[in-house]
Amino acid sequence: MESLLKKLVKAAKKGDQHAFEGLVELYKDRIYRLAFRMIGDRHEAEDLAQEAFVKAYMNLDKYDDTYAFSTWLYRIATNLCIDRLRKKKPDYSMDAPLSTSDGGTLYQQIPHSEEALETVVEKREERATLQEEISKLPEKYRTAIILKYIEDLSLEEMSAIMELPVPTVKTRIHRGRELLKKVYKKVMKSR
Amino acid sequence: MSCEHEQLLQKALDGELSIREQEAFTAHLQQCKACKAEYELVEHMIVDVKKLADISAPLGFTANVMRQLPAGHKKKSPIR
Repeated sequence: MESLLKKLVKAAKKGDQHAFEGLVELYKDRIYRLAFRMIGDRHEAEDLAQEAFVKAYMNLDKYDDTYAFSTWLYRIATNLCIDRLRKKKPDYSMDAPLSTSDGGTLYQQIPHSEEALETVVEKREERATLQEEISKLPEKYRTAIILKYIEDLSLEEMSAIMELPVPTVKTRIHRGRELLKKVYKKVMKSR
Repeated sequence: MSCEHEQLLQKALDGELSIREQEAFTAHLQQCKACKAEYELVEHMIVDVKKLADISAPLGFTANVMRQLPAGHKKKSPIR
């Protein structure tokens, strides 16, 4: 039996926008999250994630099902994010303050009592710091850390998205982890 | 941290230790406070990084994408 996903992809390829809408619904959270964690800014992330879907739609005829549809989408989104980061580089320095707004939903941030408020604020700061540190990683390590730990993808999926052999993907995860560890250590000590 | 232990630590973090290596690594962690602290720190960091996954696309996201699709492609075919 053909899966719903395959049906949607097939119909979307034929130009059925309702089917494509279904695909956007299925993957919007993952693609937006990837863009937000890569870029660190909500509005830019939203623009990029939307651009990724529009680009996917325009190139549906090029999608072949050797790869999972999600892998193909992730690849489009990752490349768009990297392009954006490269374009941004000249006007930002490592010292420049990065956006610290975090992407938790409003509901998640509503404290249930006065006491809880402190914890919520503390947690939000922690998350913002970690996001900031991830944003400082060179893009190749940042991509590896986000795909591995936030998107929870396998090395094989990462290899297909990053268009790199598995051993290179592994090296990038290790290097990214090492770099992040150094700053994480400082953050933990300062508490 | 010696090179051998560094390799074991990376493998442990990747979840790729063989049973024998796992035993050696566990035994080493019991003796070496530095390695133990290092391992626990990275594990803790990974848990924290994973928590950054709990965000969702903003409201109206899908509708905004659909609005940007080219009009020429608006052909519809019934889903069978």
